Amino acid sequence: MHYSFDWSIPFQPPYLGWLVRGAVLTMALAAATTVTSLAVGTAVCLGRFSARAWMRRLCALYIEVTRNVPGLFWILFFYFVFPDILPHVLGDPLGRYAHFSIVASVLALTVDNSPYVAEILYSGVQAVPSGQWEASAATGLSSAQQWWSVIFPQAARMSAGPLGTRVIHNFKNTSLCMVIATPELTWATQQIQSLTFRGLEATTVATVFYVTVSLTLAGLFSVLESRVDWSNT
Amino acid sequence: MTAIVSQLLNDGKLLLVGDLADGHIGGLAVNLYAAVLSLGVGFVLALPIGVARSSRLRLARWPAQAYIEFVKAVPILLFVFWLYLLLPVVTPLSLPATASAIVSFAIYSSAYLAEVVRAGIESVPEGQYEAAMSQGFGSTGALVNVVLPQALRNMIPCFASFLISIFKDTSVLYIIGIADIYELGVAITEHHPARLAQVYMEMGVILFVVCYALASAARWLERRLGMAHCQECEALAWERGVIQPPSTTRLNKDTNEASPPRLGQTTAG
Repeated sequence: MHYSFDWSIPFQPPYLGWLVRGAVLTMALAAATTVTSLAVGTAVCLGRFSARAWMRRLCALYIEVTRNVPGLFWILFFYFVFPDILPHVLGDPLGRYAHFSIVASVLALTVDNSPYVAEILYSGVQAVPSGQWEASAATGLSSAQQWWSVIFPQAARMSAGPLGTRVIHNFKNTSLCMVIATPELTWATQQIQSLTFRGLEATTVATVFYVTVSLTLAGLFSVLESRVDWSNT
Repeated sequence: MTAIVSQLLNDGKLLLVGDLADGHIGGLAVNLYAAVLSLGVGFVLALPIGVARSSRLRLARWPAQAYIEFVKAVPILLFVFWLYLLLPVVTPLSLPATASAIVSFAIYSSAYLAEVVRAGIESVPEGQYEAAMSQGFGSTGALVNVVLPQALRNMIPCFASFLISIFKDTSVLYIIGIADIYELGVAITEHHPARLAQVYMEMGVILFVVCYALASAARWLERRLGMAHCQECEALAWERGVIQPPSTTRLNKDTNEASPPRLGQTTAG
């Protein structure tokens, strides 16, 4: 098949604007869901060490269920079903909200990513040597102080590398949100394809963007990891 | 009561195998078929790449590494779109959407599986290779007859866990308009909006059962075959979110299993 490239398409208005706004939204979604899934993941991880058995079981169940259901299901679920099962007072205005697809994307990606974060932190906590618990208890720290000032900093350092790969996975997963018309980068390329049939140029530009960001993040995390002073742990 | 049962049966049949009356298989069967095929073709592609990746020759190692890093850096959905548009331009092939998607999945899998192959090769002690060479095998003969058979055994649990992650990725089929389980689920809810939550529940349960069963199989294989020598491979399976982090749990075994105090209990004393 003969195909002549037209590289001007992705770089002219309005297509350039779509791609740039898409890239910005992709980065924003990735950043926001990294923060939210870190928060939820930390909470679930702490829940697994709770004194209450039902809390430990609940958190283990959350991890098992969310991890064994694909991300796309969560995206469709939060977009189509979630406003419907909420009480009308909440669900109706939420479903009508102009940027609801972005809200649903954030919720879905958080649910998709948080069980992995919780598992990584859980293993990090388990890897902290037992002497740390005993020593910190012996110095008279309360249980909350032990967690906050002794155990969590060490666990976080051990989890840093794996958490970094999760951040990159989560960044790549934002592309799935195009299915509910979240106007992120992959969505923008498909808009350009359907209007101009110049999707090849647009997806190539987007591929370059994703590869650049993923590899930059991977490089950053490996520098960060090598800079961590392990002797202090 | 019987109405609900027949509803469940109808939905279940649609979600699992699709609407057979239209002559095409659909639903979960498509996702599983695509996942298994991608794993198979992906492994065939991954074998030479993984061997090159673990080679001592830079000329072989670097292109393999570049390929792996590049493919792993692209979201699978964009990769599917991109190859669908690119393949007809750079090759004489003009594939239908399903075939093109499966080719993309296979290439995508090959990058991850090449890392598994490399880790598997590195898990075989160097002495095996040297011993084979001393017995008069050439370097290729030693690799094919001595190293790879042992490496393959170590890789098996990784394949099982990779199958889950590629199965989850086949949800991309829905986005490109193929009648997989998601497409049929959404179609049912469009015909019966009143049963929205119920149909999603059914879909979620089916997906959960498949992933959970595959994860259990992977864990069983892991116990059965042992993955003690294949750390990289474990780490990969875990990065894709299938198995618990290995290196840290192993660390924990060295320390005398201190169980952290429960939150809200006093531990001082």
